[in-house]
Amino acid sequence: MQLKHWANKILGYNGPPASMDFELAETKEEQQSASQAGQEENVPASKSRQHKIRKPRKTGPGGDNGNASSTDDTVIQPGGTGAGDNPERSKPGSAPQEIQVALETNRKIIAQLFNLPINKDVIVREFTLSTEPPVPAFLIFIDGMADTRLINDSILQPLMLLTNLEPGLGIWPDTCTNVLQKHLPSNQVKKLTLFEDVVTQVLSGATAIFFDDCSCAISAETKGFPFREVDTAKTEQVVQGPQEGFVENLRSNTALVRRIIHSEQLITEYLEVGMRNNNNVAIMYMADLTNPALVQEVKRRIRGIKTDYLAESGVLEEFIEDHPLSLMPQIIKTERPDRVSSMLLEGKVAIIVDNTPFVMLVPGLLFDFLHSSEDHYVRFSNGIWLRVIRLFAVFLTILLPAFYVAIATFHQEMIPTDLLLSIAAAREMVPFPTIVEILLMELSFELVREAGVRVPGIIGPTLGIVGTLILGQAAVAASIVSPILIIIVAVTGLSSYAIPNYAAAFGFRFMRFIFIFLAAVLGFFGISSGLFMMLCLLLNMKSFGVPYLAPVSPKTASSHDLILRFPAWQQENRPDYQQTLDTRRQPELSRGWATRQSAKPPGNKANKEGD
Amino acid sequence: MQKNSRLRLTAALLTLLVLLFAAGCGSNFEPDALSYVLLIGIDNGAQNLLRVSYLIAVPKVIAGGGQGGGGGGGGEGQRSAEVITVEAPSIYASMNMVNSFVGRKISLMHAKGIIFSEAMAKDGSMSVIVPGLTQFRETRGTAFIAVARQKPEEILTKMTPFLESNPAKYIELLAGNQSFTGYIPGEKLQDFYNDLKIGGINPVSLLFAVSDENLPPHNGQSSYRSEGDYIAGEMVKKGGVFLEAMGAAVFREGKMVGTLNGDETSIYSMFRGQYDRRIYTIKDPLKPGNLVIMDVSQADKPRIKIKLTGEGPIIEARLSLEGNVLGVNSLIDYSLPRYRSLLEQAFEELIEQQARDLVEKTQQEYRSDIIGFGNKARRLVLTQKDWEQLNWPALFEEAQVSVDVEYKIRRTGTLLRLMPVARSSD
Repeated sequence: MQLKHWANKILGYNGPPASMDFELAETKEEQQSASQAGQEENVPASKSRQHKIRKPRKTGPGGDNGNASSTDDTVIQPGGTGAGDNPERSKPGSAPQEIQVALETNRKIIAQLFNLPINKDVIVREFTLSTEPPVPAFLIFIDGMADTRLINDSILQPLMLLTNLEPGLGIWPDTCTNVLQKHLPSNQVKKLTLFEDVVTQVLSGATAIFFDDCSCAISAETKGFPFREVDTAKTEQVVQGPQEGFVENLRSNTALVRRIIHSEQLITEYLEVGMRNNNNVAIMYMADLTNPALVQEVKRRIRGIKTDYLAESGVLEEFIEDHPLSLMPQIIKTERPDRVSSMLLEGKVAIIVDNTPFVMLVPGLLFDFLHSSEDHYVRFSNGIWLRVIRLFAVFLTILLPAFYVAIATFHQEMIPTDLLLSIAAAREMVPFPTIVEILLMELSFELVREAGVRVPGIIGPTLGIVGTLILGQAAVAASIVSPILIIIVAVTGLSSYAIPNYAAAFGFRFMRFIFIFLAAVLGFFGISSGLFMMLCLLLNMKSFGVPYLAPVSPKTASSHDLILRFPAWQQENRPDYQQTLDTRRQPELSRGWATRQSAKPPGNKANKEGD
Repeated sequence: MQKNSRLRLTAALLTLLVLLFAAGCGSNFEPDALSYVLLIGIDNGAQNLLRVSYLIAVPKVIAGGGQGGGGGGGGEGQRSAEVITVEAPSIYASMNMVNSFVGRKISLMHAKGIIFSEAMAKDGSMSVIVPGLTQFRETRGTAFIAVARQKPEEILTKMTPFLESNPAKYIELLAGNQSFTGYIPGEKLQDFYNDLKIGGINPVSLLFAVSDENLPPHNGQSSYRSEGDYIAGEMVKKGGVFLEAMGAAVFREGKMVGTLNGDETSIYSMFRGQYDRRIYTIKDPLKPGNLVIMDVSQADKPRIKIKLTGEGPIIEARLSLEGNVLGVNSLIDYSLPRYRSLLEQAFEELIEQQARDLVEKTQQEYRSDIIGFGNKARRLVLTQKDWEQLNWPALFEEAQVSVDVEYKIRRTGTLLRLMPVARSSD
């Protein structure tokens, strides 16, 4: 208290900013034993967090409305998170909100909404139901987004031809319900009463059908737009393990996850972000596992976004992350469904943005960025080795060039004499000081890297060869840099690619320049003070209410999967910092067959886990 | 308000950082802006106080830098290290004076050793310079310290290794050979300084000499002489480097009073716990005309007990050694238990004798407690005042020292049984 007072007085420091007040607290259930954590008890826990949700204000007709489409894929939970809240609606623009009774009025409103007939993508097809008496109707869809054969076969055909089988009084008065129940052989249909829902549905590829004398419309699922097939993961490759990666299509992505986790507790909720492109954002979580407060916070942040266009998950990441100015990412982005699934089962929340093959997982902590799903797929000993190598790579990436600069210019006594003399000899003809030399090489390396990404595929190998030749051989031959430096830069470059997460690798690579600078100015003292500041900054960070360096600081119970990966049968607990509703993955004795007692007749006390 | 406070905090931190940065840059040097001294030679000056020689490495020759260059050693080109001698009032001044004709700043960071002339060691001025050298932040405490029997600059000039292209490596290895030859003490600069300032022990140093390089003519009179029975400059050798490092220089009150030969140095190291291993060639206890060669190492730390009595201190020292038999001329099979104990006993007696001789020499001849019995004796008194009243140097000279050596043979070589040379029946 005293310290804070003085700090305030001297530096005017008022403590952490207000945006950091969310903290993922332990659930009541977690304090009890994992087996007793019941579903009903979730309700108070999530209720207590309700006040945190700020309801978004609607600003336009196409504004975000998380509720309208949220039930698509959802099994609503008793402690359901957010399925029951009603964002208030403001008046949409000029068009009437409700669907009118008269068909012709509806037709005109639709034409106005979709800018017909200027907009050639929108197709309106008028037809008549062959009931007695005939009912005029029209349907609307977007050419290219909807599957036209599907419309012909399962909408137009049954409605135009087969409706005459309707006996007696005809389809009237409850046209919509009747058609829905008896005449539309489409597996996903919905009754709509609002025009804005019609617009949303049609824009996402559905076909909307309006009937005369009926104040509702039917939307039938007819999505048929082109998208990329599921392909191998491009940026996170593994040697052993599933190879497929996410694609741009949102539905394919949710299906890829669902295909791995066969659980009714896996929930997909839909939110919409972007006033102009109404981008679908799905969040997935395990209802009986994930802390409800975390789900609420994710939804609160996404709903609180007011923007007109959401291009990619990276844009959403910037909108919702805790520390946008930090060098380190706080949200895991992955294109591997298996990684998403395992993270979901650790209690994280997945955020899938439409049109992005990268799924975001929150909270993302420092050590998550050093893990790869392959660590668990190879044998235990190899998994540990992979992790150790990777940790080593992180330190090399950040510190190796800085270390070289520091010992070469400040601490020559630390270098073995032989090496020092050869460094001095190699630098004999080099005209630049070490710092310039290393910056030159590091910048050239970054150039090769950037050019390698941007270069058209065919030229790629050429660029690699040219880059290597010019940077390596020629630079040394021309005495612009010393050969030892080439090794340093090459090793640093290699290690930066050993970091499995792209964003984290980027962060570490950038940090290395800061450390080079510090080393050039202050030697080891600079490096150590830089490390100290880096640690302070990292310690100060949180990702969705979880301290960034958890479980190292604050120290939490071990999940046996941090730097060293324990064998699968020893990883009994989920990460403590996730504050999950169910804390255990498996009982203490997870290998029933391995205990001698299980083979014996019952009576032994350790036999409880036996089978 | 919030924003403002963070701004002020950042500004304050940045100001602090700028101060740090301003402080840092002064002490950085590019590795090729320094000239690395490998050895320092210090002698009395002719016109000034000191004559300081530096052995300075030439990186481009050593590492074959630039455009690859030719062969490092054979090419009879530039030497891999150059000796520079300058007269100056102090060592630090001499560094600057060297820089009046050497472009790169002299750096002692990689000096592997410091060699004093025998004259300086004997008149005590070496002990005046050593503390100052230890104080300097560039010199390494682990550099060896040696006394040269000739002029130091001559020794430095002879430092032209024929195996290594890098003299630094040669010097390091040479001083490190103590661990398996035992002929030289393992005394480093920091040890020398410590022994100098502590009352209970006196320092020793390495002994360097330019070798004679003359092989005497054969006269058929060769006889057994222990391999350690030499001091630097006396060995019969030819070729390689024209230098010898053998034995030690003994100091009393900062002045050199004498030398130890290789054998005595080994015993000295055994007493101090610095002995690692060496090869001993001894006469066969059962067939005196023949020899037994053993590789002897220290098995346990030396145990030294001191009692103060009315007639002076009584010192009991116990040395534990173990070894392997490398070769036996007499073809007696010392792997057999009955012979082995005989050999062990004979060697124990030999070392005991040598140890007693060494102690006697230090007590009577040199009157210098180089073994450091005094350090053990310090524990017997409580205060520094008591210690000073004890007058250890005088007590040491009349101390009764008994040495007990324990020797065990661990291995007797790779032959199961030694068989006599086959002869035609006689």
